[in-house]
Amino acid sequence: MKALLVLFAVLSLSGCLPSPLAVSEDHSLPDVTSAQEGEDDTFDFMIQKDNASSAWELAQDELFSFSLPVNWFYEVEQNQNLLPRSASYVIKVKDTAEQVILGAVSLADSSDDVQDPNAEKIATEYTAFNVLVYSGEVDFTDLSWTDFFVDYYPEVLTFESFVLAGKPEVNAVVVTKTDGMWLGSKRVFVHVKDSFYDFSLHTTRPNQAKAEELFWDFVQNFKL
Amino acid sequence: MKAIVWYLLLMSLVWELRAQEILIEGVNFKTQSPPGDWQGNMNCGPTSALILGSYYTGVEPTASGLIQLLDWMYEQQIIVPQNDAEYYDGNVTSVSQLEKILLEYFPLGETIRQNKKDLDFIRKQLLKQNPVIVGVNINMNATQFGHFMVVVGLSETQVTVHDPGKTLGAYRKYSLAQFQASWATSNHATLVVRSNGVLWYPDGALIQPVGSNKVYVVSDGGLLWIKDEAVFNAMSFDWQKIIPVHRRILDCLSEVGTVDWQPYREVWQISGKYFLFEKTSQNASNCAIYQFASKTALDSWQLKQSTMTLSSVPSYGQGCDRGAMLYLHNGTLVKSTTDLNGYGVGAIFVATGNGELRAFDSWDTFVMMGYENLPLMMLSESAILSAIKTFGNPITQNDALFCLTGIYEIQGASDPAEVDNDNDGFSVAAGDCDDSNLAINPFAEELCDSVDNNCNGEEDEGLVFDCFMDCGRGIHYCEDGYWNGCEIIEPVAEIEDGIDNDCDGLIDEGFVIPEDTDSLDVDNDEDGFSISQGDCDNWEPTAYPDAPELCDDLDNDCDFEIDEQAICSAGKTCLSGKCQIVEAASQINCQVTCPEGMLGFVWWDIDKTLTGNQINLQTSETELCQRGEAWFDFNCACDLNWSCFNWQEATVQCNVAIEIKAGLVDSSGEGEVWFPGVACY
Repeated sequence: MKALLVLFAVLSLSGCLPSPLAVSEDHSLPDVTSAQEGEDDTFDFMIQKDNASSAWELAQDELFSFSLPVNWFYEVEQNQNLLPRSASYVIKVKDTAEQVILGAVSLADSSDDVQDPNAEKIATEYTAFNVLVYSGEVDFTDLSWTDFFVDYYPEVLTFESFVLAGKPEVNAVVVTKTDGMWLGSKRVFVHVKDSFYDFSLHTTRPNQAKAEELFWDFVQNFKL
Repeated sequence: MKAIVWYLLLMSLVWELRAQEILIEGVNFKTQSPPGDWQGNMNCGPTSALILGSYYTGVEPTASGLIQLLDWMYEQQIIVPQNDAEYYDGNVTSVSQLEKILLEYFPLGETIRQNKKDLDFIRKQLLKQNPVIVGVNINMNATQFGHFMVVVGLSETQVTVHDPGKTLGAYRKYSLAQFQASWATSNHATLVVRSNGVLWYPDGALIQPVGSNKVYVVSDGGLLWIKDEAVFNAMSFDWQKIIPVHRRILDCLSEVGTVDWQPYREVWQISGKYFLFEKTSQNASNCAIYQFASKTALDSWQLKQSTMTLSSVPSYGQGCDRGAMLYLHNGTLVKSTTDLNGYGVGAIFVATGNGELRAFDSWDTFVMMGYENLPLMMLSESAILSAIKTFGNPITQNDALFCLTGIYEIQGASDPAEVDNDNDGFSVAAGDCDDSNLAINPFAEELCDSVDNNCNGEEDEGLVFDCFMDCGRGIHYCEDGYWNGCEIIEPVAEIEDGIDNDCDGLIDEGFVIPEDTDSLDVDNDEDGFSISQGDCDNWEPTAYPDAPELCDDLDNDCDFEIDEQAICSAGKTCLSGKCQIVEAASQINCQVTCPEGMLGFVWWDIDKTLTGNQINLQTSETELCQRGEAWFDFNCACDLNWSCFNWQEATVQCNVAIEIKAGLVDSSGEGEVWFPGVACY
């Protein structure tokens, strides 16, 4: 993992960032990991940074293969009601067994003046990575980012390309301006072959930097 | 000014009802940002509540209003500020928290909160002019993040919402299928204020404006304020009959007096006739005696006094005034057990004007006036006729929506944004993005002209159709304001016939088979598979093992099935190799039979009912799908008064596959027949 980060740092410093679209001048967005290496390692969930191989474990689904921190949880859900402009798969990785509600609406509690028993199972403190996978709905092969955002995220106004550390061949962008609801403290879009991936980070933990570090590692290790 | 706006809005409502779409105009929109920025902004719930609160209180929803609301929510510890976000970005909210806002912050009287897949409920609320908060997702996309929106319109195919998560979020339309998929992710979370938006009620109706503690009784086109609970009880008014109404009704029916006295009353039965003896107080000397037209009339008054059987008028009543004959109490709802006066079985009437009985012209009128939750008397024809003088004209939606005082006359709007310059029914304030062009408004059809015809912020959106040519299947789409012709995306296979079948400029390409090569090993269509490798159609590039199944009348994935699970866009299904809108019209016949002596009931479509010991329901998929999914409910009752009932006594037979369930969707006392083979779109 560290080797990849170093490679990315070297690529960045040497001006090797390819420019399929506009290239971000602000490297702080993708270049988040190296600066945080020496910071406080205390975190609500135990990740053994000194032993990367044991700190992460592989999750393999029929269709997806990705790594997640040990003792974390994940859900892969196929969208049964495939409709235009909706992801075909939703992958949620989280550091709690409780239910994580992403977005601004929580589970509705009971309408019969009886508290929904699920209400107490909803996490209030969590770090979660959400991945929306769009594939199989239309032919994405030659779809531009602009067309993709128009069709799938109409609130996006501007975005910038960047190179995902260790994956110079991957076509990735980060959204820079929206005029609508936009959730996720980090949001990365990746286009590979006939699929689009929407990675987002959601955390309520106090150590935001650590969560971001894990998020970037997660994205890099996601088998695209 | 306000009056004019409401007039225009109501005109719009009537127009919409005619167009089979229910739409509430005049619901002011507010985005959830500002305050806060869009990044991490979770104000959709509070903003949706603010939109409703502003609608019912008649004020504009603003950013400062949202700030005040968020301050109140933080103060009440309903939510806490997010980590690492702007203070006014809010936080996750639940429906019960939004309900608390409506009930305690504004406050708006009563709310209805539920988790039911019940489109008919939303339709009824819109009829009553109530916007509905729903839990959905960003972009109405079931796979994106949770979000609140406000439903302001509904048709057979589309839902119209205020989406606070977008700058141009007012009156946005989504397909019903997309809405339902998204709504399901919140377990169909639904919240609405209990209110009715009509402007007129017949004499005798009890109404209470939302957020007000005043209860009025309608009398002679005006409102009498019932001073307090003691007066209310003394006058034998029924608490169950209070109809919550939008406070704008006060612009139409003015307060003309107060009911502030508690009469002293006795009920007498003399020689089989019933009388009401009344004094302004027990010690007062003035008195009056009224005769009830019948026992039914007496019952409708719901007097708490027990009946005194007398042989003659007592001495203390000898000098009393003789009042008018008393008929059904004003405001009493009556349903006849038989066809009454040609209105049909099941028609519902309301008593008004002391002796007049008026039917409702439709179930929608009855619902939009808020009567459907009120108790009613089931009476025989003879009992009803004994308690009334005459039948009045049926009550129509026009009666309910327009003031009789004439104050809603058009006098010219002064705010330019509220003027409809092009007479297309929409002003700029109402969402018209080009108020100089009659053909451009929120309800216009989107055309291929590089213009945003329907004012949804997008030009020429959704203009894509399948097309078929000799070369294969293609798409016909709009680009830069022009139709592209037919762009072939699935060419037919080239065959060895001396013709360029797939229009690629080459004739019979791929047909030179090297000598000594087994033809079963040749991949003629260059799809990566030969016949020996399992290609079931070696001349069709879209057909090979595990290929995506397309809607093309071919077995693409070589599993010996054609078009199974082929994906079509929303609202279409794959039939005969084409994605097409299915007109569900096939006839469905069901027979519901109750045991001898019991009466069967069947309810289907939006508001259709059949009654009888043996019911032959002849309907169609189209009708059954009016509820969003194909089902109807039924029951067996001991009698018309429903003194006992048991749906499990019924036998149900249909000419298509059915599933019988205990009442999951409707009240639990009824049975439901579902049609698993019927897909609704």
